[in-house]
Amino acid sequence: MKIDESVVRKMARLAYLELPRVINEQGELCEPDEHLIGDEQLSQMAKDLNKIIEHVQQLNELDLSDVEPTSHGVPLPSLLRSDVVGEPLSSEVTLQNAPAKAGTAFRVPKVIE
Amino acid sequence: MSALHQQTAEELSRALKAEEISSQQIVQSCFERISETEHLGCFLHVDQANALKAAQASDDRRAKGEKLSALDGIPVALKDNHMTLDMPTTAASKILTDLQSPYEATVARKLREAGAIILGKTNMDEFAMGSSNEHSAYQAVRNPWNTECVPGGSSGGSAAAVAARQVPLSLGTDTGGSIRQPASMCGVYGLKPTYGRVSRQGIIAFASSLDQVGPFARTPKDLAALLDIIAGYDPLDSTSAQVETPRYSDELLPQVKGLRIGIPNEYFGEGLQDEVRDRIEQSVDSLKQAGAIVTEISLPHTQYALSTYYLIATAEVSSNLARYDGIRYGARIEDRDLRKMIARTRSAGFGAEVQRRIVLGTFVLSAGYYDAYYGKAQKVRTLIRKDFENAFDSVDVILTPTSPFTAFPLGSKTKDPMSMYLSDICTLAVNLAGVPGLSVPIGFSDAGLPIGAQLIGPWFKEKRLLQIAQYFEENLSMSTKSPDL
Repeated sequence: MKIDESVVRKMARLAYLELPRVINEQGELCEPDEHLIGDEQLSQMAKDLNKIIEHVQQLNELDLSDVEPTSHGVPLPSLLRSDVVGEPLSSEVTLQNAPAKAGTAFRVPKVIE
Repeated sequence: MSALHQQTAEELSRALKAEEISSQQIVQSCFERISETEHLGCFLHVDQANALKAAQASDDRRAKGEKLSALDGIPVALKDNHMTLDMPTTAASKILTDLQSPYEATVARKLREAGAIILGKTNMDEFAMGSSNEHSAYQAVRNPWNTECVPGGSSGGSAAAVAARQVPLSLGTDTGGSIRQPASMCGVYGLKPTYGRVSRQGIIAFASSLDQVGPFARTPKDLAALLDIIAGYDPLDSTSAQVETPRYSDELLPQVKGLRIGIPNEYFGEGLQDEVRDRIEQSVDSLKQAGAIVTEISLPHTQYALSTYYLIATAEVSSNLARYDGIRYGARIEDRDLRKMIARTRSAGFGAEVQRRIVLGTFVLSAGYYDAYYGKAQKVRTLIRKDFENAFDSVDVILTPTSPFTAFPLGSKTKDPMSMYLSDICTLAVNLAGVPGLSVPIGFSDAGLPIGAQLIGPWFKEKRLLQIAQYFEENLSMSTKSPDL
């Protein structure tokens, strides 16, 4: 498996590190005029990722057909604390780091036309 | 008497009890040292005013004859991925510039309640992703033993601050070696406890199934005293373990006689620096002379640890870092379109290494590749864990190098991520298996750079590791060797 530059761009877009594709006049989805990841950075990223992916191919040597997956190293029961109402953060404190706010709400760009 | 900042927490605590010194004097001395050695870049934030206020409160408690913890009045530094109410918490990322946390990490609260004085927040690789501290968005940290070299990472600031005698104690986090590897490169003691031993509540998440908080110190006794405060079940962290927590500092005596020590041949292969190998062999000989039973063992899946780690860790990164969207906190790059606003914010806010890992993690979790990469890695993790289970059937502890080489020059590995990743080759499997690992300083290279040995124990057997570390300290007195700054 080789990760080419278009795959890197696609993954970056899924991870919100790249701008979304746009619909052109013909109604087709196409690349936007502007990219957040420049061509040089993109090709470097593809190169680095391929090196890593190439390395991890070694896992294919192993026969894993009878192996159960482990989600973390220590086998302990997952404990839930009792469902008791605690002291919530006030809206003032909750909003203290908001880049933009309106009253007691976080302000975001308009999402509904 | 040496300057206060030079002394260990144990010495300071004794002098405080004898009323020879005050906590305010200790804090003052540490701040003087921090400013005198500022070029090391260990701290991202310090809070002198609040620290002095807390020191005064500690002195007042002592004057009243209150019963105090062993660390009351003793300074400690926290890696900047620990949420604190005072000072910003940035994880050394631009995306969290000046973030003022609305709550504090459980470990920070426990330290405060024990009367420890939090001096500041230490520099690190951005979101703890790195092995050299060069991926900090603010500045690199320099190794106190040679300022042209890296301190290791990602808890490079916490390790260097303790080595440089700026502070006797600090906390770091370790996801793949981020406490042990910098401890080794800076010549101090560093412990990654068993997964679940210490609460992760209020720690900025990197890879949640691997992350663990742990202490740095210049002696095993200080390490134990700090672990005593932070260890234990936390109802606010569902992955913290509800198991009995011993008093680590009680009767911390060297325990080596009759101890079964396993030396895994897989950790002594290609890429291991000769001087590191020599030092480790000398340490093993010394343990044998002290009555330990040393056997060669095999951890056969060691060679798969790096691949397994990078698949699991990056998958968890892509998921954990999805929360940084410029809406609730952190930096924001405005755009009239919500999607574009989030993408612009993340693209400008995350450094290159963080972006690389997010993209890789998104890839290994994406439709069609999940089973081939992430699913497979989760299975190999089972095999790596079983390697340790099998080994601990016949040995009490495993000894390996902590890092295959000593501290490397700044800039020498930043261009090739794979070569950087290889510096964690001896520490990664420990996180995958969830077992505890302790890096012990055991000497220096000819160039004067510290070398560390890693002690790996069974789940929840931190005390055993501390007892062996105590043996090394009593024999080598590494805590008395201080860098020329």
